[in-house]
Amino acid sequence: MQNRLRVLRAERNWSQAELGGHLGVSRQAVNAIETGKYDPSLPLAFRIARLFGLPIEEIFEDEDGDAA
Amino acid sequence: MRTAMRPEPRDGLAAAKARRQRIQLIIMGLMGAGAVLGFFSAMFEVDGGGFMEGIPAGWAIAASLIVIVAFGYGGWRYNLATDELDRRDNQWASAVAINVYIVGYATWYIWWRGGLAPEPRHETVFVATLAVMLLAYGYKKLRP
Repeated sequence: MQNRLRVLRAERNWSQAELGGHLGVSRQAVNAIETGKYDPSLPLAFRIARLFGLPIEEIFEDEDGDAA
Repeated sequence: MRTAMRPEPRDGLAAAKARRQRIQLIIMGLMGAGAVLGFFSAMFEVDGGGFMEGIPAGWAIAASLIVIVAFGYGGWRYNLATDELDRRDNQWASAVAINVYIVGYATWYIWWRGGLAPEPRHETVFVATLAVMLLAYGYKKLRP
């Protein structure tokens, strides 16, 4: 699953560890999500969306590039 | 959904650090329990005997209670402190280990019954299962 997490994080000048701290997950989890190696659970996806003040579909896209 | 939650960046770092410290504390607690088990078991076992051979019944009961409490409480706290990626890695490693255990033990048992191998040694099976679980967990951490 593709996502804009790295871009959104960079806009706020946060490190992966900082973002992980805000979300209650590890730096490794943030890295795995950003690189598309791990798809977050629905609750975590909602936490990410709330943190950035965006709908989930503006952060995550499916493999084909269509909105989730 | 549009209501943004914008904590200060420092909050995130402090939370990440606190989370790491919680996990380290739990692991140190489990290692401490293991050290207590190892020390007293070595103290009580018969000189020149096998692993834990000849330990008194009282220590056997106490040691088993330490194992139950350490893994029960420690495992519960560990689950609370870790994130969903780590829990997924743990579950994956556990699944690999139980499958290796089933196949490995069954094969060894059948070979023993067929006169091809000595009787399965439970210490070997136990340690091998733990080793496979640790290796699988390490592999998953390196390749999420």
